[in-house]
Amino acid sequence: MLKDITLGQYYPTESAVHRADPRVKLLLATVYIVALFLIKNIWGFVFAAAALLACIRLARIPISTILRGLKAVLFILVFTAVINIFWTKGEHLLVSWKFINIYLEGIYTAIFMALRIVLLIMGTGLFLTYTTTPIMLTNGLEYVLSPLKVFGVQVHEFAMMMSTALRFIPSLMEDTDRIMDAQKARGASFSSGGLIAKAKALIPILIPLFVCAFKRADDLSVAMECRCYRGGKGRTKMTVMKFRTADWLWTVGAALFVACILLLNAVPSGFVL
Amino acid sequence: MAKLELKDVCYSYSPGTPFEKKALQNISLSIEAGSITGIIGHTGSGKSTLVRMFNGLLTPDSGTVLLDGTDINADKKNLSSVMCRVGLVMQYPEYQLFDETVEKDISFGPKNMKLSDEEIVERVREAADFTGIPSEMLSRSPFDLSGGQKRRVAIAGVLAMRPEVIVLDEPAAGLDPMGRKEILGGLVNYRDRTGAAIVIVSHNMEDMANYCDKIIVLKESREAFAGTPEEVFARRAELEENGLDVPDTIKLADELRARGVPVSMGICTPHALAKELSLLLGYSDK
Repeated sequence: MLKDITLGQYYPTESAVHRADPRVKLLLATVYIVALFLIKNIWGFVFAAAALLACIRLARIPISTILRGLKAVLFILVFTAVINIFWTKGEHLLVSWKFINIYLEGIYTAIFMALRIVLLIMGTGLFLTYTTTPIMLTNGLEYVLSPLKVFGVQVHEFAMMMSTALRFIPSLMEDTDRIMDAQKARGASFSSGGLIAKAKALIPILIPLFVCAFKRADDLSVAMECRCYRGGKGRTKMTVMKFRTADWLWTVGAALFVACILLLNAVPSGFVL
Repeated sequence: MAKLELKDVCYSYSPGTPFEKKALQNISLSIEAGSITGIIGHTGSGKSTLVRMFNGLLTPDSGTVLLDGTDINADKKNLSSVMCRVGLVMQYPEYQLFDETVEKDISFGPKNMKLSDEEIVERVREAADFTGIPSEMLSRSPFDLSGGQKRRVAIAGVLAMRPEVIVLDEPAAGLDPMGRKEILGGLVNYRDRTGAAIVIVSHNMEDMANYCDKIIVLKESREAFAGTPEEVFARRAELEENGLDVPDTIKLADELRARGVPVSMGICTPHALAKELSLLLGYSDK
């Protein structure tokens, strides 16, 4: 079960997307998210999905891996779709039974919302998680947020916290697996019983997990101090980020992408969000 | 019939991804009731995976695991009862402690077995006895204890289920020699009183030589060879090739043999060496 949560999982391969500067990828992810919310009709979604698929192929990552990351949000997807189908009002009533009214607009909205969520998760996953190591991601974030230093925002510390959290997700998952195994070996069951029983069954996992997490944090900070970490002031980097031609091409590509989305919004189509 | 048997067990992690790792390939072995079996192998040879096969935490990709002749993975619903009959103590088990008092933590296993309250109290006391936990420790918080004390509590938590087979992954890791002797002694005591089978995975060759009836050597997810400690440790070159060590007694015996003292091969405990030497030197049975 825990192997399916592919958050924080870098997919090691060589590709144009992997090589791209992390700042560019942050830009691409942001542009993609904004564009997704600008889409007004089905053509926009088709185009966005096609562009995304092209990038996934370019990144040499199997689609199945990216799709696996959607399992975690399956519940939200279904929930959103259901809400929209049953509670969105419009003009074309399809089904009416007692107090349940399903409108055509509701169905369309449900589909569009679902598409948006799916493409959002896949897009951000592709650019930020699967093709960018946590370290590169932190570097990118630190650079992008550095103007905020003027306002007293602890940019470096924030970036360090983020990358540490990302880096430790797999380790804490391993810990959880180990603790679950240990408690299972003592006869604990996590799948039987009602809601309350299941919640109670989590205590033998959560308490040791918290203890583990604190211990890891403690060990990490001691290790960092032993290697003379004193915060961000004057700290240099091993890999210095440099924009290359490819990165400029990505930037241009992002601008073109948004332009196309806006153009497609003007194309006449059945339903408009 | 052997108590616990593995037949042609295979297992891979993350099959079909770039992270695929073949952990076990065609492992067949049998554990007799009342025996103490040791499992040794270099890092990555499959020991941790093997250990999780014994109690059904992992299901083999192919092959069977038999407890008293019955396939433990045949009926999924049966697995929780298997886990109570085959106890598993992981490495550094102190991390599994969670309850408010030592007594409550040890009773976690028996509670899951749905035993009566009197039975649970009895089991906790018995398990505390085997692991050398004094009664005043029972009401303390497990988080207030030292590492060695926590270790005892964790092992007691498994012994309280009265397993017929108890599998331990590095039970004495990180303990001082006194602590090691007490933990392992407690396990032998448990075996003597209940006839259970004990399986120990360890890198400590002295313990393996001193306590085990049989040792299985794992190499790169397969079984390399097996036998009594004498037979296994006689193959020093093969063991060292695979990154494994041999007991100090073997090294001493080899040195003596190199200097002309005809010590027989495979003597791996200090006691046995002393006996052999006193015979060779012409002293009467000591």
